Amino acid sequence: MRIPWLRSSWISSSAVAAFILVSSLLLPCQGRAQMASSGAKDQPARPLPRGMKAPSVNFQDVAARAGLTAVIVSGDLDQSAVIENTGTGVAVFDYDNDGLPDIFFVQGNRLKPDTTLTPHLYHNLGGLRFEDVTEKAGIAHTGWGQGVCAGDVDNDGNVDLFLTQWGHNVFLHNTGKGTFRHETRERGLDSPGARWSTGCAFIDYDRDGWLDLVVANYIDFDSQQPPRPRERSGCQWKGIPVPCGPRGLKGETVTLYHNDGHGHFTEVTKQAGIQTPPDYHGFTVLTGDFDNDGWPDFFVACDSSPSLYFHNKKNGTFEEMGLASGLAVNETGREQAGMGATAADYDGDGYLDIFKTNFSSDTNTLYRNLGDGTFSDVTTRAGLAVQTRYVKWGTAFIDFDNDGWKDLFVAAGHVYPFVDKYGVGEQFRQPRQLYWNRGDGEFFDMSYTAGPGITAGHSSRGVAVGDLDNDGSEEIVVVNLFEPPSLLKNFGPHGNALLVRALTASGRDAIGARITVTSSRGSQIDEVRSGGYFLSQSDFRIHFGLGPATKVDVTIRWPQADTETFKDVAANQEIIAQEGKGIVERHPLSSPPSGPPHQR
Amino acid sequence: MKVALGLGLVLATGFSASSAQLPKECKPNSDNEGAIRDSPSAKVYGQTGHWFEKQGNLKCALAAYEAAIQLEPSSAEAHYNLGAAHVRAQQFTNAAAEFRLALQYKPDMALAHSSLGSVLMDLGKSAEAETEFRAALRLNPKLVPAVVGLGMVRANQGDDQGAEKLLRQALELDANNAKAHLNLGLVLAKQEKFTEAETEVDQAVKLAPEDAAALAAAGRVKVRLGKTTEGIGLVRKAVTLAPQSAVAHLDLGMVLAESYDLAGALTEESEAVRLAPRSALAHLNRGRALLDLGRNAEAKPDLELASHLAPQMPEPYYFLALIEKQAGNYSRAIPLLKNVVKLRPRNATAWNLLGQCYESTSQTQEAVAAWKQAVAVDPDNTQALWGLSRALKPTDPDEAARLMARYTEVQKKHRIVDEAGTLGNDALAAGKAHDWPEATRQFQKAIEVCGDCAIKADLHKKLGLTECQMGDIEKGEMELRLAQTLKPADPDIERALQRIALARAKVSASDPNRHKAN
Repeated sequence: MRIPWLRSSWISSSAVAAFILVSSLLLPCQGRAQMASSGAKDQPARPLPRGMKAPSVNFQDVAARAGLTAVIVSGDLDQSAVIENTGTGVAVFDYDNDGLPDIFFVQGNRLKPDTTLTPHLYHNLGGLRFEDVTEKAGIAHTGWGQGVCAGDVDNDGNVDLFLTQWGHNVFLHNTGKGTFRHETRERGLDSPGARWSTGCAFIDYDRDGWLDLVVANYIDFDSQQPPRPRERSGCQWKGIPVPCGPRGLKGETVTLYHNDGHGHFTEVTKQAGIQTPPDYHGFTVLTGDFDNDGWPDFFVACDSSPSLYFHNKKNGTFEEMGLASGLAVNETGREQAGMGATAADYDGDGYLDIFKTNFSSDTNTLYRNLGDGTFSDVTTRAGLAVQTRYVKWGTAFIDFDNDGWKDLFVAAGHVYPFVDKYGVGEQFRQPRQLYWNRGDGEFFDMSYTAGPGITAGHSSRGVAVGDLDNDGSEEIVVVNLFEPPSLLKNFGPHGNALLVRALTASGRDAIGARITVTSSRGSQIDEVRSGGYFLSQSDFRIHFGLGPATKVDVTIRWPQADTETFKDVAANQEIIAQEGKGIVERHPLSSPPSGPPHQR
Repeated sequence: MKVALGLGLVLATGFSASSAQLPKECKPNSDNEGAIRDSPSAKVYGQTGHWFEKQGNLKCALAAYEAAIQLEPSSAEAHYNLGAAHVRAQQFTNAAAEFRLALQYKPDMALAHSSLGSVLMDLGKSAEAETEFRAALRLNPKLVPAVVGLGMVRANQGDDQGAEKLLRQALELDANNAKAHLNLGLVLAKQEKFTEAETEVDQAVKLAPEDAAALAAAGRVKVRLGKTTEGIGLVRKAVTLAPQSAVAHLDLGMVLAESYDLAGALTEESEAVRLAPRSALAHLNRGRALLDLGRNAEAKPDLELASHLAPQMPEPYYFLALIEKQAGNYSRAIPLLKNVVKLRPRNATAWNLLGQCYESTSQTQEAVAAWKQAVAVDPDNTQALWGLSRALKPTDPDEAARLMARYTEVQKKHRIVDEAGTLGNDALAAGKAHDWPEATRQFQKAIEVCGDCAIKADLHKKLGLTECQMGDIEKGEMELRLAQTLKPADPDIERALQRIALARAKVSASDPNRHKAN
């Protein structure tokens, strides 16, 4: 006797439904996964068109010899609460204005609090050598850190830091003397109760010349019972007991703080139209002028809930247009487990596009900006519906071969350290991904051939990029949970480059400035940005790969809309341009392009 | 669908003849050997065949039954016995022929009608089978195998409730009929009533502990109930008992796949393919395992063969369409999905995928039509609502806005269910730890969050059961009654209410003054 009930139900419980009932007592809703995923599988790898050659890439992890040895924790290895899953971010920023970007690693904590754990500030000594100056800089235990964003809130020329936390966020004021001071409350940035904040970004949304602040929040723990530890949670993923959440736990909102012009902030979430129902698990805040109207907008990658897109209405308020713009969900209308996000004009059409990372059994998502306020999910068309088995986190558009087209880097790592022992085909430590931008709207997966720095397995979270040795090629800093970070340097050949640091008239990094570089091969755009990646901060200096071009025109549209153009700027140097003053400093890059520029 | 029915030996009485002989390799036991030598008859050969069957020697059993027919060609019993042996040898066409001969010689042989019905079911001739089962029941309304068989005809026709009723009727006639328990369990499982199904298949295993089909069914049900290790163990035992059974390997493959052991599943499905190379189901499941392992190119030939072997089965087309869609071959996926919706017009997922493929090939009108079908079948299909709204935006912005609002509303409903479900889950966890007050509090909170959400009835049911656990029968009953108004067919609620009534009756009986006092 054989009734095909299992066979037919096998269809409905395909890979899409990620876990099964654990006992007859469980409720029907328990059939839903803890994280949203589409059940996507890899599309077949696409070969390169005839005559097109991928560059030679060789990323190596040089963190240990650079002295980056701090171990970042996020709870304990036998994770029992969802707070332990998310990990932390990293900031690449020049805290002492010596022209060498430094690195700040956010530190997590353990469920049984460990006050000896601190974030780590590494001072760049040059030549990819770093010194841990945490103590010297007056930075101590901050609590359970999550993300970080940088910005000079009082326009004094020194970059300050904002740390998001589970508990109370922390504002670290840069004194300009190599130290930081905890000034959260004085600056109006503390919240009355504890919250779980994640992503953040400084943004001058009203273009008054003072940096405001956006903070994403993840789960509202205050209004609900603390979730049970995983062994008693009743929640499962692929048959494994896991901590519940984020799905099913009470969501959160996004907070906007306005800078009063003295480096003091007031929350304006409601007045500015940022208020949403508390239904979102916000992660990465990604800013940018996505509609080219000169006013900064921002996108929030949300985990297991629709992403948010706040369009700037130019009057101090925003409108949320996630669904209307197509950015809330993927092309099939599915909400995803959004983690990291990065922006670049990958196709050279003059509009910033958005790339978002997601959970396993799902693709990342590339949203092409159509220029009319809407975006199209072009993931499959762009050849990016691959590597679906990994849990993807920090991501960056980075032109690793300096050919003038922004490529993509993605860090990965499972949320559950114990997943290895269950034999469900998932590992806690996962390799990175690298996609080369072919320049024709498609990407080529180089994850298996891009060197040991890419293929090595780690459980990574935050990612930040910057040209840490000022040689014209950007490095990638990656947070690895429960082990030291990675510092990835590409030893492969690369083309010419230009580093642009844009400063406002007051002398701070011109967050929101749009920089356009034009050569005979066309134009590239990018923006000075705070936040993004995954709860992280990259170097404010904008890096442009120039391929074989030796001279370019550089146009800067300053945050308050004035535009300046600098003609015939030579390649392979760093220029510092200040609003109204032109190019105020030029520094040659430390080494010329290594090898002939790559020819497609 | 095969019907598991009891096929007993009917002992023939008849003439003796010296012409019948057994092959040399078929050596009967001394008693039968003596009887054959001394007074060979159809009856003696029938007994000998039965003895061979007991020894597991089906080939010699068949030879013995054939010898019986040689001695008595018009014996309905002898033809019946040979037919029954053919069934055991999985030779269904031969079996049907023998049962028909039995009926030719004895048209009122109810058991032969019933057994012929079973074989016709095996041969996929459900309508003819029904005629035979009905004929059997006309002759003997209490013939349990015929009642079971008719039940399975109903199940095959998709009338699960009708099937359930007949199978329960069969068990009223014979509470120890293992096949009736097994089939009832499977029918209940088909309706996703897994808790009830477990009771039935467990009973089937208790009555027939060496029955591979019962063990496999019990295992499958237990896996669906989350008792993965126990379930897989039972199906493994079924495979050990029937190592040459492709069906047993298929079952094991399926439970392994459901417990995320895809490599193990692939091994079992491959064994099933080896044992039954013309089985569409075996090829389908191996293709499915390969697909889940991301080995699409290897999955394709299996799925193609499955669709060739069973063109009426929608699943191979569906998975082939997924492969094509993943590869971006939308125009190849379209005809496959059209096959699926032709075979299963109420498959909203397939309609939605068809819409997506049309949209990807710029056939917006066709996409809109497909998505409209998906929404007609499943008004809460968010993906179809999304696709439809986006596609209609340029031409019918009002309708697009209405659909988007509907999409948002359904998403919100899902979020509420997620939240209420998580709270309910916390309550269950508290219940497991015997922290009943905490469980009650969490269920109450879950009900509050849920409002009128899809799991409202379940939450009230669980709260009711928890209240009863705490000893507050009044409150528990109130919650259960509330749950019952929302979900009248829920057997758990009915059972709990019956228990409450029983408990009350006992209390009243033991304390006759209680009512007066109250």
